[in-house]
Amino acid sequence: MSNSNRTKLLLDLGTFAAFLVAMDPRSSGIAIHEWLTIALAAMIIVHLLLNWNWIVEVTKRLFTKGLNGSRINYILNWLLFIDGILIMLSGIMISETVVPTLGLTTLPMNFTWRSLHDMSANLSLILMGLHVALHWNWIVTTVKRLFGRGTAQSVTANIMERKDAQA
Amino acid sequence: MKIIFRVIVILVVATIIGGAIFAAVNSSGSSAGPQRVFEDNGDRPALANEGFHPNGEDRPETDGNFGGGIGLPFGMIEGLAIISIVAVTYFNASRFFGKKKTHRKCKLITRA
Repeated sequence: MSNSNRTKLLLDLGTFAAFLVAMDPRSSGIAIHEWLTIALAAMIIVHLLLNWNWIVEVTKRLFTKGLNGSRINYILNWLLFIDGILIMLSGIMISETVVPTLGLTTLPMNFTWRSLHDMSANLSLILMGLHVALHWNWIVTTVKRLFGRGTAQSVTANIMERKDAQA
Repeated sequence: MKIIFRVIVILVVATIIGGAIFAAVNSSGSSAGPQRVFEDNGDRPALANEGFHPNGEDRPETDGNFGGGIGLPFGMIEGLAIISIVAVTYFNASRFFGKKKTHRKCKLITRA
């Protein structure tokens, strides 16, 4: 398995785990929640860098015929990105740990930002579910290769078996 | 150099989107009217949620509201469950619509 795929998978698994922890501030506490989200933002930037070529290629061919699956994936990724920005921005506006630690002036309590934060966090769960679903085949294949069970032959054999079963 | 350029692009795009969101929220907030600010005269009505600081004072640490330590990760399990449900729903929907498509194609082929 190529190093880039292994790196991508390990990073994505770590990002996903961090995302789940960050989605539960009641268990982790507000300090961990805020600092972890900052780290999560950095991990997402690395994720975008690792998939930069795909982003550029699909952007170039966005309005050409075909590529419907990639187009849907692309739009979904943009929605996820915008939602992530909304989460970060609203989180900074209502921050109780990071902003004071950095010596910045806290803002007056604004319930609009708090409700936006909650709403965008809930939306991110749905978008993340769709994101995982659209990349599930890649995840399964890469995990199998990472743990040595998936050679090219066995993967092909699995695909043929499934096709026969469906037929 | 390439990587730095790409990071800058990502951050610039994020800043533009963030700025647009900030402007939209502020304009919708200002159009709704000025926020009520309670003067500290001791006569203000009791608020449903404590800890309201209209003057932007330092906020107390909320070590009570969000549980200051490691608690049971029900929230994580809940998040994982929602993501799984969405993913499974997507798979079932794509399989259902995929079957419909192949069924229609088969009908067209048999007619021809």
